Amino acid sequence: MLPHRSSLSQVIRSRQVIPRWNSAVNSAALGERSSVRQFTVSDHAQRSLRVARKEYELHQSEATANEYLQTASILGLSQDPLAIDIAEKFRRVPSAMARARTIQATDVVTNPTVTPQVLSVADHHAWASGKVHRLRAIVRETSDRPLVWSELSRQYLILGEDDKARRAMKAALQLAPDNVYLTRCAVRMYTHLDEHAVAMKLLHRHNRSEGNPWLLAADVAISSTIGKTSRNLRHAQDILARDRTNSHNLSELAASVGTVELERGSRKRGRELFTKSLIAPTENSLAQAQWCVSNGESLGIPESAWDVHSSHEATALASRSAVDFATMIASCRAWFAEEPFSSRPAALASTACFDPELRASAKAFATLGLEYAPANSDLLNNRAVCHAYDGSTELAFADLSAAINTPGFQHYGIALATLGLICYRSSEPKLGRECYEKSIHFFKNSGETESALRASVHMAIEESRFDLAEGSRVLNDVRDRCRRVDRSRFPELSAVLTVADRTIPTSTLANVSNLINQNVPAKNQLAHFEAQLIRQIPEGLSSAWLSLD
Amino acid sequence: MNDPVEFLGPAERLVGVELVDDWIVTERMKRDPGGTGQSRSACYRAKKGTAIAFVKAFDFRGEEKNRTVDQLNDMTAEFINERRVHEICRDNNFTRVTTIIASGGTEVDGEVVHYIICEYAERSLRELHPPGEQVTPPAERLLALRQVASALEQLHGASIAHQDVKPSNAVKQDGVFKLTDLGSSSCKHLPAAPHDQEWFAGQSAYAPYELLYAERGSWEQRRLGCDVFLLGNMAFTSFVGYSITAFVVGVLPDKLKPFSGYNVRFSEVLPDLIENHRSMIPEIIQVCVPAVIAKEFLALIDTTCHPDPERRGHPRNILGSGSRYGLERYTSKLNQLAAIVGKLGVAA
Repeated sequence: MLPHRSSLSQVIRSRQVIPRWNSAVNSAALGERSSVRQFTVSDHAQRSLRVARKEYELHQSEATANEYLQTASILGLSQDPLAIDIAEKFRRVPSAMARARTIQATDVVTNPTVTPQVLSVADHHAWASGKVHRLRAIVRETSDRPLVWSELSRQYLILGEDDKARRAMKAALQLAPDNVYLTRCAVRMYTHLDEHAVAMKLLHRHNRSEGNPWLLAADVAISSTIGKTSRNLRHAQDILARDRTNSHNLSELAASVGTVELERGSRKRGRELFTKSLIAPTENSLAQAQWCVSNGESLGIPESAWDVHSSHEATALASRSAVDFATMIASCRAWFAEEPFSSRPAALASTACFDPELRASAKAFATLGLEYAPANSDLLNNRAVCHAYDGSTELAFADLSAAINTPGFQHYGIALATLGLICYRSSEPKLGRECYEKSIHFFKNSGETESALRASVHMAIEESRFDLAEGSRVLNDVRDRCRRVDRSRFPELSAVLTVADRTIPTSTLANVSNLINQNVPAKNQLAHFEAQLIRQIPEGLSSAWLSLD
Repeated sequence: MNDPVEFLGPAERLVGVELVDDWIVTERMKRDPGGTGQSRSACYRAKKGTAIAFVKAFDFRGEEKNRTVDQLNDMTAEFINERRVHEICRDNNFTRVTTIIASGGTEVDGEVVHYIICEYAERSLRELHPPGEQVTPPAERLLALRQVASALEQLHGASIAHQDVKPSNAVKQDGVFKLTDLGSSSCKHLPAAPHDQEWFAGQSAYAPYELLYAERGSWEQRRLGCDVFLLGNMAFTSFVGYSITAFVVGVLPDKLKPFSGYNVRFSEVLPDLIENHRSMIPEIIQVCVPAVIAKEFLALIDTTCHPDPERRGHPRNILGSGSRYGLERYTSKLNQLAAIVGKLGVAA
């Protein structure tokens, strides 16, 4: 079920149900902070309201009316018919209460903490810095506010000040060690900082680590992320099997365990769990299901599941599958606004770099994503592609060099294709052709047919800029081979073919001559880079590589 | 809950009946049915010569006819608890609590009705100093609160927690405010009353947060700590017009509210309560309380009504060896604040 390792982006390659870091208010509204058991409004509440009602009926004064309204408000029964009548009759919302509502509406913590949907690093930093300033002023005055510390930690994370983020989160947890919401926020932070052991320790130390499905879901997901089996997996499976609780509380747990089952090859069990998770999904569990679908798993996502609020990641993944990259970019923008410290939305959006109309956004996303994850090879590669198309081949070459020098880099096929693009755009068609051919050969030998075809289409596009007839021939050949591939699974292939259809007939030599005049890397530099790339290819793969030569 | 207004038991037909010690019931009163207690009761005014008394009659018979034996037992226990608490107060000469005059039973249409006769007060704090209105001088409000604090001090001295302190349960008699309605009270030295099983025995609009979320604590925390909160809440309500519980809980997201159908743990909602308290209450107090005492008033509210019950109580009590929920310091603070605004002639 897991996708091939040379896939487009880390976002497509792997995903786990790691907790989101929503604001406290949003998290409550999404039902993530209620306990497992649901119950009907208790006798005590009903009695309490009835007593207030009697009191009001006996005295009919403003004071008793106020008491009734207050009781209804505390019990969440403001829509009670008598409460509406009383509010209408007395028409007096005390100025203090109105003031309270105003204060809450502008509160820096209780208000939803969505960043503006901008793609400028400077704007993001200015916004987060402003918030840090306000939050620090608050904790200087009153330091016993866990939600302020948690929000401060989040803003520090956006600014990339990881140590300060850790310290602020520590303060929040010291003030509210038993709080599930804050523990999940901390787990999200430590996962983001690649400190999975600390995240696991926090989860295991929590006094409800085995009884709370939200914490269990995080436990299973993080264990999977680090390639381990959660020690609570059996317990989680038992909870899901017993299912005495409501589906929404179990949704993330079911998705988390479902992913483990699919990875283990228990597809039937995995699908059953995803079906359960989608009865009343969270946006996170919906995104997980859509990720599985995008990777070829046949899960039926019911229409009703899409009613879930703020399902930006799921929509982005679904739009990608539907070859609607414009919507994908828009959804990534909203997703990034909610998780501005994460590079995943940027990584996904930057995959649209092949589309001339979306390239500017893709490049902006890649640049922004690299602010938070400077060593992300996907982002570096995608920005290199954008630079190359823009004619900034020096910058493209620099990004690609940085990408292959990132620790654990393995995506040689992709790097060769990007190098081919840079060569073509540097008016070195021969070298470019050679790189693309090696990339295609690499993909073929790795069994990644779709990637090989995609590289071929890109090569056809570039080739046509120098030799229209040859480009068209390559494209026709690829198109024939594409008929044997299930293109619905490979949206980028479909999209790039469309781009090729748009580009090749109108490709003119004038475009080429324009590029020739641009400042390009020296040929020997490119050749040197290619040689460096070849040296990095692991032993097992080098025979296939060398046979091409 | 039984309906204190609609039932038609013998306890409702007491007007004109002569009770113990020659008290004659003169009229039925509109009276607060009293927290969420179990009792089916009717309230009357009685006279003996020129003296007036308050009568609370219990309808055991109706209960027996309509309900199970368990509920009858509960109601009897509630009656006995209220009477015993009143008797303890009388025996201790508590001057700040309405005193029990007599109790007994009388026959109405062949059925026995049990009753308690207490001191009568015409008007409550709610009528005399309507919460939030701008006419009552702040000094008067603070003095009334100080007297309520004294009443609680007396009760706590006998290990009695009132648990339903609110403006309508403080009545003025002979120029002094006294606490009344001990129907929701608990005494450490008496058998547990049925309402002790409830999360909160008083009115939800004024309840301490942790009790709304069914948080269990020690007897002192649940009972005496509750009274400390209710005193602070009464002070807040008196100046602002709304209870602090309504402010802080009312603006929570619906899914975090108590009894909302979602079983929310107190530990889960506590950070939100602290946040609402810290972000709203200082500003509200700044607007509603005279500026000259606003800072000290806020400190009083912070220590009596802090959302975290572990942080409630006067700081000096917490640090020292005295009772954490001791009210003496609050009594003197209210006195002091009343003197400040009184001396400066601060208007409402």
